Amino acid sequence: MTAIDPGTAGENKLSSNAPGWERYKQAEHFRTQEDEFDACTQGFWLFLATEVLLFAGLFCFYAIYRLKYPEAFANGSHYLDPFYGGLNTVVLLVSSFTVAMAIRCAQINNQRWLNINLVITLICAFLFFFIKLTFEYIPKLSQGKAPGAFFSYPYAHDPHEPLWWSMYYMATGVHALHVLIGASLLGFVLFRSVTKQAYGPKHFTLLENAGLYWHLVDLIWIFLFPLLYLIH
Amino acid sequence: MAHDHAAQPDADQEFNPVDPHGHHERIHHHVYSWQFLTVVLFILLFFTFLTIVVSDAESWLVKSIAITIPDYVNALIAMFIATIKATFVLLFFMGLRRGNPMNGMIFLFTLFAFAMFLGFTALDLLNRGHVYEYKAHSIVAGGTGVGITLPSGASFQGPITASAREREIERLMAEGSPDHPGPLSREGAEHIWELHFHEGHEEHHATLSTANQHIRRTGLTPGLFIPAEHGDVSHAADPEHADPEHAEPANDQPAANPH
Amino acid sequence: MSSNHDHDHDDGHHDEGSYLTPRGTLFETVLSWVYTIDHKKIGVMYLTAVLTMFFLGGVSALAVRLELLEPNRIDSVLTIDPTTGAESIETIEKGSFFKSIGLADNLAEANIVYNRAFTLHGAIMVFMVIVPGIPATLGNFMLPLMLGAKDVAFPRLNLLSWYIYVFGSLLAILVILYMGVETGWTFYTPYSTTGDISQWRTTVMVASVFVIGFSSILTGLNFIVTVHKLRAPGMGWFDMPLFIWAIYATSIIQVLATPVIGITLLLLMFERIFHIGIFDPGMGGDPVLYQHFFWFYSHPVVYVMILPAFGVINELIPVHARKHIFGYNAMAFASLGIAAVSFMVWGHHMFASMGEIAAAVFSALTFLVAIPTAVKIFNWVATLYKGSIAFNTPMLYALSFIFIFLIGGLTGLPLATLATDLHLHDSYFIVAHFHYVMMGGTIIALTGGLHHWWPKMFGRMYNEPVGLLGGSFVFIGFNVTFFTQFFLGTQGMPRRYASYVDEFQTLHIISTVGSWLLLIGFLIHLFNFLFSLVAGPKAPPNPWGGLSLEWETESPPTAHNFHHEPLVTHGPYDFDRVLPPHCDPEDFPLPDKPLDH
Repeated sequence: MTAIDPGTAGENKLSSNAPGWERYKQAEHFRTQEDEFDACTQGFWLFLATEVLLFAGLFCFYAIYRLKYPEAFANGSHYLDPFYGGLNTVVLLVSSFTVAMAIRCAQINNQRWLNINLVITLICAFLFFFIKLTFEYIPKLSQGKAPGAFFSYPYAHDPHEPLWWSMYYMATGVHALHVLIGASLLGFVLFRSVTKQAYGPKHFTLLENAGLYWHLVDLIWIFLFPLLYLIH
Repeated sequence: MAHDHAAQPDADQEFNPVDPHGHHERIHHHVYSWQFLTVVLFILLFFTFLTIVVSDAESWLVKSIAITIPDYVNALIAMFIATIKATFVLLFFMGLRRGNPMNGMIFLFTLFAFAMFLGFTALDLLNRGHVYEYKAHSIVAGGTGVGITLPSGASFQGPITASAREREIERLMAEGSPDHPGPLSREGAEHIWELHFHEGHEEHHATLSTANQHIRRTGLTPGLFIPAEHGDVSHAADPEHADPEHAEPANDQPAANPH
Repeated sequence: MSSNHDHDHDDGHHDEGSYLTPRGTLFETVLSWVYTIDHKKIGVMYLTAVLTMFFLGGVSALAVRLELLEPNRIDSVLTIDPTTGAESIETIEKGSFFKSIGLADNLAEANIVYNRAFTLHGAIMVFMVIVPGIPATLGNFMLPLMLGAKDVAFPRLNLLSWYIYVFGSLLAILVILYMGVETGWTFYTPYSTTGDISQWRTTVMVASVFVIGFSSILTGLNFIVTVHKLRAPGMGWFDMPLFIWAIYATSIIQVLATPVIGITLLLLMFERIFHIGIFDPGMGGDPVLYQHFFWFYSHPVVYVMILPAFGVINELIPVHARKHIFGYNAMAFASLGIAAVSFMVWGHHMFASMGEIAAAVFSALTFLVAIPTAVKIFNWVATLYKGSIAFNTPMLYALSFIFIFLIGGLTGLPLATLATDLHLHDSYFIVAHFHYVMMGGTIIALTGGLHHWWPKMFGRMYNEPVGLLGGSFVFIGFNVTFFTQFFLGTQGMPRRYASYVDEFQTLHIISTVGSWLLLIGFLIHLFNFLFSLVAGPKAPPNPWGGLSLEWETESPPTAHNFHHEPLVTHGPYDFDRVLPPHCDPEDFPLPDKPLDH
């Protein structure tokens, strides 16, 4: 009675053959599993709210300096190829779709496709990083298009271009960090799903929340993409 | 406590008319069909395609018909399409359509806070100097470079971009370019810099992928730059840069402080 | 508050013991605290940590006041000998406290030590004491109890938030004590971005505040979900005690505002390390943008500090005046209203540095804050009217709060007015104003709430006369310390200076003496509490005759809060029609006729 622990104490050990999601029992301060699911999801939405407001600072960074220095931001935008930005958008949208499909598979207890969808999502996360690093970060940094005072690209068209690069690296960097966190979370979910069949129609809280996080990463990119690549 | 509920499964609903836990709503998990989710994905992909096309179409329109489109139209359309896409993700992928309405409320409050943040900050920083002239110039154009010292010990006398240009010219003087082996005179180096600047530096780096070249679109939105000359914005935006006589242009654009 | 089942029918729960009962060996007991996910233990751990920080912040405040006893100044006096006409210049060094105790060799160094001392004071008191002060201590302990829940929604996150808080706080304090940070608690650029970048002290300090922010977010998120999902059966939104409403509004602000300080401090760290230029005019950036970013968090956080204090007073006054709170709904909506308005008024911290149009808009919006706060003050006074007031320590603190907060609130109006603010900003007037609302608001309410809930938390009664004595010292000491600073400010004494002209010295001396009275008051409370823990009389479950759910259970509560899930059948303030549980009806009789409310 002393421990209130959804991970261990809540699991009913009697039927150990059943898949993890069937054995799961909610933490004892919740009355029903629905209550726990609702609470966890609501908590996670609140966490997503904090994430949105974290990015709000970066969007504010963008908005203020874009309005103050439109030339620098238009020029900066022209250093970026919409093809690769668009490709990354497609990659993230597809991965968002597969996460939504994974949740659907959990809801209808299709364990095989649940895992396949998660694997596709992780591949997409890897692709995103690959495109970002190979075609954007590494060549641009090697050309001297670095943030702030480290900017050394000699052919800048506007004296405020270092600010643009600061914004670009901060925004995409913080976003990439979130891709990394989301991918790790989904990797953990995949691990638990493969080893324990932890997610099924009665219990898929962590999968749902990891999915929400991944959708948020997608959501942020949906706005970053036109802001960085298309607006001139 | 658990055994109490096992004995009377619906006890709380019987004795509690004001049920705070949403027990009446037993089914939260709406299952979308895979066809539906696929349709949503394709709608999202279509809008991604659309926003790229619109962005290019605008440049094309400006160039071919020579109409004037205000500079904010571009941003408005892009943000409008992004908002549509975000709404689709929120409603269907993230489940706001069928999920707990409270989660949607949380998201709306978030947007409210975001709007306040952005709105009031912009209200201040973009509306200086309506009453007092000296408040209009709180940001020095290009920056003075004062007070910035890198770990390498380098410091700046003007905008960062001017220092970068200066270093490149010094490098050209010492090493020259592939076409003009060095050492070069200062005038020669500046001339090569000029050529690179106008032709696009990237043509001299054939190994670079397209992602890293300066994408020369057909037109910038007119009105964005005050003298709206196609492809010649660099001069218009910053004439000092093209002029080797003014290696430190920032000093010409100080905050006009009346004191 | 509930029709609790008869305790005799309880099946063996009585030997469960309270949450404080040691289990196993000493080592196991310590482990049971280190790994606990019980909100009560976490609340007590938070209380211990916050009071430790309060002690440190208080010591640095006393040091600041001692330094200000005399102006930190070198005077050169020219004397001309009347007979020979020879001129001689005599230098008189006015004393410095920091120099006299060996912290500084000369007055210039003493100035730096002074800057570090007030930075230490400000950073500790704001980020580590007042922000988590009430929500994480009293809130953590009382919120599930008042809701009739077994725990907060996410107990492990709750423990995590404590560890994050302790880690961040220790890091910050070590940095300030060993290396010294002189930026003030606001880390304004360019103070925080220039200087010797190779020294990592400001960066580490900023990083530690960033870390503490996560603890704040986790607490707020936890409380919101708890209020939504874990209310006892029968408790609708408007049956909740007003303390819960206040904590709820606070949590909304914490969740929505704290991430912005996260990204702000992250940008500040990048600005310092990588010179990204966003706040640097040397690269076309704008230092005022930092102030916007900072105050978008830090102004709502002012309400994170004060809203829980309102909540505590909302509990103290009805219980100790035995009268239904006046205007329950108005109180609840005022809390939410303050939370909403808090996001629109941050600009009044930077009137001097911002554009005219924005300043005018912010000034007008700032006046809006006065409406919900005035509603609250009015309702408290109206609750007291014709109540059966027990003059004990919690009530003394509630009355102190109303008095002090009224002064603090009213002196906010000239600061919200553009024309007067330009003269008063960065003077001692503003120092006095925010001490009146932050210390006089939050700390006074925390101390009052601690007395109110002390019997429930630890199962022991404190000594009432000693409590009243300490409370009187705090009230008088507080006003002596800070009321003088209103005069200093209007006369022109700027803040953050160790030196001043001689004309200010009398007021500075009065203020410093007041800080000693405050010290005496808090020491009296400390000894009172420690004595009560060791030898205080055992507390009954409901010493004050309260009606909210925490008084249903034992003092201190059992490990699972309640033997049975409580069922709520009446409101938390129905003193005129419900007899309080576990109480002798002789002690807390019902009134002859119901009071209208």
